[in-house]
Amino acid sequence: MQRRDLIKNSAALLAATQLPLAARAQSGGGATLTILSHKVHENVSRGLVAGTSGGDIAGEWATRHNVKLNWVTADIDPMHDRLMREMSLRETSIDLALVINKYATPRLSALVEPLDPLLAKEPIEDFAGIPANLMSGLRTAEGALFAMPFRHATTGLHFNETILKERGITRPPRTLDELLEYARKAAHTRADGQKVYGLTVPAAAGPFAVLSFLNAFGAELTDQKLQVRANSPQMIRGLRTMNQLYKEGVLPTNYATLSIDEVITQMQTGLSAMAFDPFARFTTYNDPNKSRFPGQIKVIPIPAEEGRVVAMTEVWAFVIPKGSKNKALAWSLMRELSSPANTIRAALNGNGPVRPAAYADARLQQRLPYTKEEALAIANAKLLPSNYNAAAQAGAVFMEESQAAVIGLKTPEAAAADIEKRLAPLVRPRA
Amino acid sequence: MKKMTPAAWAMLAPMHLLLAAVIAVPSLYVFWLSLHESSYGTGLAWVGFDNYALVFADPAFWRAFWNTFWLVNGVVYAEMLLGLALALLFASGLRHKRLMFAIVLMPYAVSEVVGALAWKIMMNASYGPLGRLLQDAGIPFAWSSSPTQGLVLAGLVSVWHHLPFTFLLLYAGLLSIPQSIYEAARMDGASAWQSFVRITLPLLVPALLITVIFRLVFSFRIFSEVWLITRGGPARLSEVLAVYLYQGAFRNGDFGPAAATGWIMVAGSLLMASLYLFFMHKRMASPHG
Repeated sequence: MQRRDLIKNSAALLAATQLPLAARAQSGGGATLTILSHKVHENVSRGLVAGTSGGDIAGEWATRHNVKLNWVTADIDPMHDRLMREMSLRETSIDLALVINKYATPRLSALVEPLDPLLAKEPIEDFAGIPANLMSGLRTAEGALFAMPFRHATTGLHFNETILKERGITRPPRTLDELLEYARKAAHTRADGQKVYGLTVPAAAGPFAVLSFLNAFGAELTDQKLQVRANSPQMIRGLRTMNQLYKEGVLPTNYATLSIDEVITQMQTGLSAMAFDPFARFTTYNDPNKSRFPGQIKVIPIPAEEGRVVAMTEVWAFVIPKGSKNKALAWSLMRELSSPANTIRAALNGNGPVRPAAYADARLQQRLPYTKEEALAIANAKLLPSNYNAAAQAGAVFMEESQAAVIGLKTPEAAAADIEKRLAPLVRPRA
Repeated sequence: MKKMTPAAWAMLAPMHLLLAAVIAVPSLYVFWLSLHESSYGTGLAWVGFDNYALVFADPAFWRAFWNTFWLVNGVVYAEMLLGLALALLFASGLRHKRLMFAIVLMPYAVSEVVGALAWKIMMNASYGPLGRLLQDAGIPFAWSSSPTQGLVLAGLVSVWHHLPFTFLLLYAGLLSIPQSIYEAARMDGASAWQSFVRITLPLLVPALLITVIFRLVFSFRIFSEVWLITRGGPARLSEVLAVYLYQGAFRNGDFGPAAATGWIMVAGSLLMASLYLFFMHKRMASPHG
C-alpha cells in the first residue's frame, strides 16, 4: 500500500467513526441526569421487572423534561463507597443518589444538599403523608432534612405453609413462644436425608434481621436517643435462645456465613421453614419460575411477647450531592417519585412504599396479599439509629459478638457485655 | 556489562515513568495517608505514626496477621509440593499430554470470584454435592462455623486456583535441566530417587526459590477466597490482613489505619521475600556452594 493510500484510508475511517458522534451532537439530546443507586431502585422506578404494573415513572418524567437518565447501580456497600468518594470531590458526575439509613451519618450529611430550602420553594405533594419516624434518621443535629425517604424494607416472618402443615402446624405463630415452638417442630430431616431448618436469618448480611429477632425478646442495641442498651437481660435471653436453637439444629449450621441470596435459596427450595426477611421478599420467595413453593410462602409481622409484634425497618432515601451539576433536575425527579400517586405506582413495581396511605390502594391490595400485615409491622417498626459516624462499625461489632454467642464461641452474658463495652465509645449522641 | 547510552535511557524512560505513575506514586501517597487521620470528605489531619500504633494495638489485626501467616505458608508449600509432583509427572512422559496440560491449566482461566463462589456452593452441607458427600461419609467439615476449617477451605480454593502458575514455573525449570546429566547418572547406576535428590532438586532450586517468592508475595494479599467464602467470619475469626484492611477502609471509612495496614503488609511480604532472595543471592554468588 502506498503511503498516500494509507493516509486517505485512515482519514475515511476516522470520518466514519465520528459520524455517530456528530449526529448525536446535532440532535440536541438534552441534559443527562446520573443516578447512583442499588439496582432495585431502578427496577421499581422504571417498572423493569416482568409482571409488575406500575410502569416507567422515571422514564415518563425524563421524556417530559427531555432528559437522558444514566442509572448507575451497584451492591449496597460498594455503591455507598463510590458515592462517598464521588462526593468528596469538588465536582461529581453523580446528580442524585439513594442511600440507606445506616450510611446516613453526619459524615454523609455534610456532603449533600440541604432539602428544606428546596422543599420551601417547590414542595412535595402531600409531604405530611410521609411519617416523621421514617425521617428521624435523615435530619442533621440541627434538624435540617438532608435525605428524602423513598423505600422502606421492614422485616417480617416468612413461613412455608406446606412445610408447617406437614409438621402438624395449621396456623402461623401468634406469640414468641409459639414461634420458637414451631421453629423446633419444623426442623427435621426429610426421608431423602435432606435436613430442613426451622428458622433462618441472613446473619452475615448485616445486623438488621438478627436484631429483629432479638427485638422480639425486648432487646435493643441503642435506644432512639443513642444510649447503648445492649447489656440487658433481654439481650442475654435472646442470644441464649438463639444459641440453643443453633445447637438443636433449628438454625442452619452455616448461620454465621448466611447471605441474603442463601436465605432466598433455602426458602425457595424448602430447606428452611421460616425466615426473618423484609416483607418485599414475598414476591421472590413465591416466584413461580424459581421457587418450589410458589404461593405457599406467606408473611406476617414478627410475633413478640404479650401479643405484641416487632419489626426493624431500613429506609432508602434520595440525596443530592453538593457537587452535583444538575441539582434542579435532581430535585424535580425526586419530587416526581415522591408524589402520592407515584408512591403507589412504585409499590406496584415492588417498592416498599413510605406513605402508609398507599396500603389502602385497591390495586396494591390485589397485587400484594400482605398489605395489611406490612402496615401493622411498619406501625410498630423501629429504625436503627445511625446518625453517628461509626454506625457501620457499630453494626459490625454487633454482628461479630452476636455470631460468637449464637455459635457458642462466647457466653451470651460475655457477648452482651462486650457489645455494650465496644459500642459505647463508637456511639456518640448527637448535639 | 555494556554501558547504557542516553538513547537507551530515553527508550526505557516511558516504561519507568509508567511504573512510577502506577506503582511508586500511589504507594507513596498511601504511606502519606497512613500518617494522617482521614475519611470521606474530610481533610488530612497529621497524626504521625499513631495509625501504626493503633493497628498494632488492635487484637483483630493480630488475629488477621496470624491467620494470614498460617494460610499463606500452608497454601504456598502445598502448591509447591503439588506443583512439583505434577511437573515431575509431565516431565516423565505422560499420555495425552496436551489434553492433560489443558486440564491442569484450566483453574487459572477461571476468575477468582467465580471459582470461590462455585466452591462455596459445592461445599454447602445442605445442597452442595461435595458438602453432602462429606457429610454422608461422616467426615465433619464445618467450614461455616469453624474459623480454622473456613480458612482451610479458603486455602484449598487458593491452591486449586494458583496451582497452574506454580506448575508452569517448576515444569519450565525441570525442562531446562540437560538430559545428558540424567544419562550420565543412569550409566553410573543412580536410582530414580538418587537422580531426583542429587540432580533434579539441586538444579531446580533457582526455579523453586523464584516460585516461592512469587507465591508468597501474591498469597500475602489473599482476599477474594476468604471474603467470598467466610466474609472473615464467624465473628471475624477467619479474617486475613487484606480483609481487615478492606473493612477498615471501605466499611468504617478510616483511611489512616487502613493505609498503615497496607504498608505493614508491604513490609511483611518484603521481609518474607527477602529471606528467599538472600538465599538465592548466596547461591548465585557461589553456584557450587
